[in-house]
Amino acid sequence: MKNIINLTMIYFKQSLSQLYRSKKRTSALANTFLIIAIFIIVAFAMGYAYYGTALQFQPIGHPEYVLVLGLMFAAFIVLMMTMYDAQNQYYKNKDYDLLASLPIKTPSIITAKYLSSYFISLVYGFMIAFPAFIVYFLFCPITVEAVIYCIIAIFFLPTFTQIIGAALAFIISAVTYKLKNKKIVNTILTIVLTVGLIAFITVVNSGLMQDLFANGIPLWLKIAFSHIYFLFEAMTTGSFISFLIFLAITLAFALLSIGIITLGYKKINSGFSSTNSKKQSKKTLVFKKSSTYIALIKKETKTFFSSPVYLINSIIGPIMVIVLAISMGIGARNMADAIGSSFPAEFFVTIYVCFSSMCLGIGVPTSASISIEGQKLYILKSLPIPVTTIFNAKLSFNLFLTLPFVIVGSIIFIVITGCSFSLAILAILIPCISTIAFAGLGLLCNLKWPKLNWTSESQAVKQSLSLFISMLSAILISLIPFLIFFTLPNEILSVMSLEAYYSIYLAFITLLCIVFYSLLYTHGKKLYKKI
Amino acid sequence: MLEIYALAKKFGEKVAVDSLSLTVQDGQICAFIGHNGAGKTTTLKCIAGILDFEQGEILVDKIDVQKDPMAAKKQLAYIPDNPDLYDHLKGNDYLNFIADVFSMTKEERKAKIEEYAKRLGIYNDLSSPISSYSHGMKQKLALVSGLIHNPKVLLLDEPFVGLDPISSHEFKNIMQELANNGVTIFYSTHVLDVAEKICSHVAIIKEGRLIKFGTMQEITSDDSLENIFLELENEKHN
Repeated sequence: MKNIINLTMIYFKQSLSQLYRSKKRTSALANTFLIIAIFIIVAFAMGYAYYGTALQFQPIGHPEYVLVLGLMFAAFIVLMMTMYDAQNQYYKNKDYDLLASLPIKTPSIITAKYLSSYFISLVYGFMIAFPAFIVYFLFCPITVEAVIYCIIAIFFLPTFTQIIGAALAFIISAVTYKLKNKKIVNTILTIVLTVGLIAFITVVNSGLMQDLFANGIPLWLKIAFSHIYFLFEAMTTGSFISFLIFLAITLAFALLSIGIITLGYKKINSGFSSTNSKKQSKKTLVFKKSSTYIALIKKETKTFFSSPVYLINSIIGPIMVIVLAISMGIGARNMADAIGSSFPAEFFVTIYVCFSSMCLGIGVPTSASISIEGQKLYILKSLPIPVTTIFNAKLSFNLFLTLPFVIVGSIIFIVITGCSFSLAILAILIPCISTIAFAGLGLLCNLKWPKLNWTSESQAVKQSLSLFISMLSAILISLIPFLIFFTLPNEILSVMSLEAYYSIYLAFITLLCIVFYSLLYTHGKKLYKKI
Repeated sequence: MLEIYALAKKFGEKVAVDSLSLTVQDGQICAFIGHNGAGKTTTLKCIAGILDFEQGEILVDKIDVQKDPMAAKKQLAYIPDNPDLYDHLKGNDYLNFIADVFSMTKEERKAKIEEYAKRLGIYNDLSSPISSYSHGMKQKLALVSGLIHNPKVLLLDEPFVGLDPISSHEFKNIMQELANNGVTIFYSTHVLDVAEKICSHVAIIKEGRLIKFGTMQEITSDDSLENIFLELENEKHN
């Protein structure tokens, strides 16, 4: 038990060390304040969206369904953000040799690692799920039982995302750790399973709203997400038995997660750390000259493909843009066919523009591009490379990666919906400018909050303050047109055309883009020198 | 030539380097010795432009490191004590990356990489990923990367750690050759007998302050470098 507590404290301190990296108390306070402020704004925005949803459920007499939607949405988002971390957390961590050499039992090590990754899920989950509970209480009677259940449940909900992450990590690692080309196979398998799972959950979730309207809670949810169903039952009926079942299921998830990871922990880790005996390669060495910028781009590309967690974190958002474009486009067409009217441009363009930008903000590659250098940053710093060239290479790589997805996604959306030319231009420009702005913002955040002393890549990529702040800021910027659109009085909306509305937003994000890049090339350079 | 004038570097309240001044001329090999935490690595990092410093001036081949860091860095090579390299690259990719940064021609890089990689016994491993290298192989690759672009000043932090006896011997020869060709070599070490054999000069640092600097002969006179160093260290404790 002592070992678990000590190790957990070490991991917590490691996570918080970024926040309090500076010895100045004001700097630490400012960081804390910034995180809390962003956290509150995002939670408020989520609450606002849930409130709108609850209003839609009110006419059918079931505003409480907002809780089911909220909890499902929270599970989905947290799963998307954390599930592929588990591999690095448990199997490819640099501290394996050290811990393996100490007299600490494997389950203790796993439990400490579990708790540290649980904490991350808890923070994200709290931000997205808690507003759903608040909205629930605004529409449904507040009982003592429900309040107690809500407070306790918040701490148990993340176990669901943990078990999925653990299972995924175990399956992929167990399959690949013995292979010769383990790194490539592991990366491909991780991408396929992660994207497949996300696509599956998206399809399942997309019909949930209609299911709730038509038949109440669907059977698949009662089975696959039984913990959410029993919590919902407990909250709405006050049933203690249902709440006990919820606790039992979530506790079982936690124990099972630790059990799964403990299974084969040593074998898999030893497999990953050992290198296959290589025959001395007789390949001819290539000596080809290129510019410093191209050399840096090549280096960035190789770094990207060598780190599954960095790759997946960066690629999920752009892939989601394509998925969103197809689903939004088809949704818009179906609705237009069903109501026999013209394309409901306002609604779908708003959703596409906001959510595609939001997807792009989830894993901005530049937000980890300094941290991923780790202790190797001295190489760049000691070489005669201008800081601007280093920044340009990192930004360019980000844009080479995301822009093609954004442009293809927007074209798919435009072709399927057949929206007007002016809206089509805006549907392309807004996500493009957003991704350019987010790249600048991400790099700026990473320069401000770099994490170089990491023991696993996921600490640099997923569990960093830089990613957290750049991601939440990007989500907020993306949600602005959505929130304003549904808040503006009809009188203003009827006067202002949709093109004018989006042109103003385009001007706004272009301005933000200019601000981010100006800051990057002035203040950012100073930050780089200080690292 | 390497010139350091009144260098001072602090980490918060802790003084890491205090008023350090020394000059290493072209063709000289200077050993930089001191106890753990004396400020050797910090000094080397300040010269390499990795760390900013509060006071003083550092000139690499007459170029101010703080005023024109790019020009200064073009004249030097820095190899840290525990080289963390880009593990996902192959050895040759890493060397090509360094050669690109120094705008080396195809012919130049081919000749230099072949020469130094063969001499240090790592040429046949250059097409393998760095992740498969042992500590010693990484050290050799880092040394090759520091040699290929003809630096005028070579900064080495514990360069012999991890090298096998053959490579260690070869690297000593390389150092001598470079010095004969006018390259300035400033390196930190704890291996005092090697320093005594190959260095023309020695600088001893204690708690951030330079306590001895001069030619090896002046410093050691009739005694060994080890005895001189231990004597100076003991003064601290007494």
